[in-house]
This record gives sequence, structure tokens and C-alpha cells, in this order.
Amino acid sequence: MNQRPILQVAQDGETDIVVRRDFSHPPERVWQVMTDPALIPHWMASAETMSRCEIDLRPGGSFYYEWKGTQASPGFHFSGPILAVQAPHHMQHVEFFNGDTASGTTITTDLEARGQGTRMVMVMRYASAEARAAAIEIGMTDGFDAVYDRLEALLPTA
Amino acid sequence: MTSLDRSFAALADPVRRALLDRLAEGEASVQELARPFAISQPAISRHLKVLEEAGLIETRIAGTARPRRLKPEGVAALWDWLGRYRAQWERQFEKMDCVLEGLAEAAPAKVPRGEEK
Repeated sequence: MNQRPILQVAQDGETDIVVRRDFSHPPERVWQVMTDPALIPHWMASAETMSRCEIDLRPGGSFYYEWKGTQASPGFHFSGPILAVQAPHHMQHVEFFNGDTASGTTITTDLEARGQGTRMVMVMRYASAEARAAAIEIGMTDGFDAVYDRLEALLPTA
Repeated sequence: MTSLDRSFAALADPVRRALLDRLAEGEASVQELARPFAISQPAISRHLKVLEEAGLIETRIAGTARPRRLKPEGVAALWDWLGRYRAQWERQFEKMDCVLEGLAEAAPAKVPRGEEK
């Protein structure tokens, strides 16, 4: 299996972003990697600066992921309540950036067996159309590339 | 709000992104910056203040002139985070693939019931 699995990122309705990704391992294993605090730091962004990883995996539980700051960027954390857990197929939680409970993103993750593997569908529901627009503009759209490229050109070469 | 939060808030507005884009070409006076926009110079000044408070631009004092320019450290901090965010999905999933391979090697998955050969 040398082919890169396809990653789809799409907008849905007014407030949602849907991410689809296939894995070549069964849902039980993908679930384990996604929810075990001993494994999460091995794959979550910037594992090297992840300073805290706690997850109380049950409906009514919560999670707390923290990254310590570096010279180039300040520290930050994501935290929030866990709303639904049906291992190993379904989970729903709310993510607050730096404790800002005024605008949480509700994330619903579904893992479905496909052959020997798993299809993951993750729906991120933003607090408003504006919040989603900001998230997309900041991170994902092509329209912003020119600005990024110019900003990047201004950076001192490492 | 952390300075990173302020940077994101500053970037959420299209006029401010356009101002930043213009300043990426080099420093400019408020008048020069306001010229392409159909909004008043005080409104432009307010946008510039937001960008300055977010640490993305700074004001240079040159006699009576007050040109604005990008602040490289602020932009670098933002770029660092943005760059990570953009590549985050694919990188995370590729790392998850690696962790999954590790688990599979340590303990091969049982053949699910009903699929025994």
C-alpha cells in the first residue's frame, strides 16, 4: 500500500467543515490511537512541544491538550467537554481554543469499517458562519496563499 | 487574549488582510495605504491600530512622517502557527498511520468474527 490515502476537506452548510480520511487499520485500532493519552502526543500537531495531554473519555468527561510556547510562537491549549462516546465508532466533543468558551467548535468523529481498514469522517461545527470563515481563511483557502507567500518571503532564512 | 489570538482576530478582516498584503511590499504612509479603499482615512487608521496592537505592524517615526511597516517578529510568529495549521491535517494523519503500524507490529489484529478463512 504505497499510495497516499486520500484526504478530503470540504465545507458543508453554513457552519461545518467535513474531513474524510481512510486508514488501513480497523476502527478499534484507529480509536485507540485517537483516544489514548499515551498515544495522542505521538501524532497530534507539534508533539515535541505538547506539554499536557489529558482525556477523561466518557460522556460528561473532558479533555485538556496544552502546548508550551517556543521562541517563535506562544503556548496555547485546547480543552472542552466530551459529549458522546461509543467506542470504537463514534465520539463527539467540544473544543475551546485557549479556554474561550464563547466560541467552541463541536467535533463529531465517526469511524466506519471499510474492508480491513477504516474510514474516518470528522465534522467540525463552528459557532457561526463567521467563525468557520475565519478558520478557513486562516488555515485552508487558496485565496490567502499570496499573502502567506509574501509574509514568508519576509522571514529571515533559517 | 494572547498575542496570537490578537493576530488571528486582526486577520479575520479582509481590509486588514489587504493592508498587510500591501505592507508586505514595503512601508507606506496612511494616505498611501488608504488610497485603494473606498473607506475613510480614519477607518483605515483604526484598522492599522488593530494590526499594530496585534504586533503585526509598527509605526516608524521619520520627522513628521509616520509610515507603517510590517513587524517581522510578529509576522514570523503568525507564519509559524499558520504554516503548522495548514499542513496539520495531513501531517497528523500520516503520524497516526505510523502509530497504527507500530501497534499492528506489536500485536497483529485478530481476524474479525465471521471472516475466518
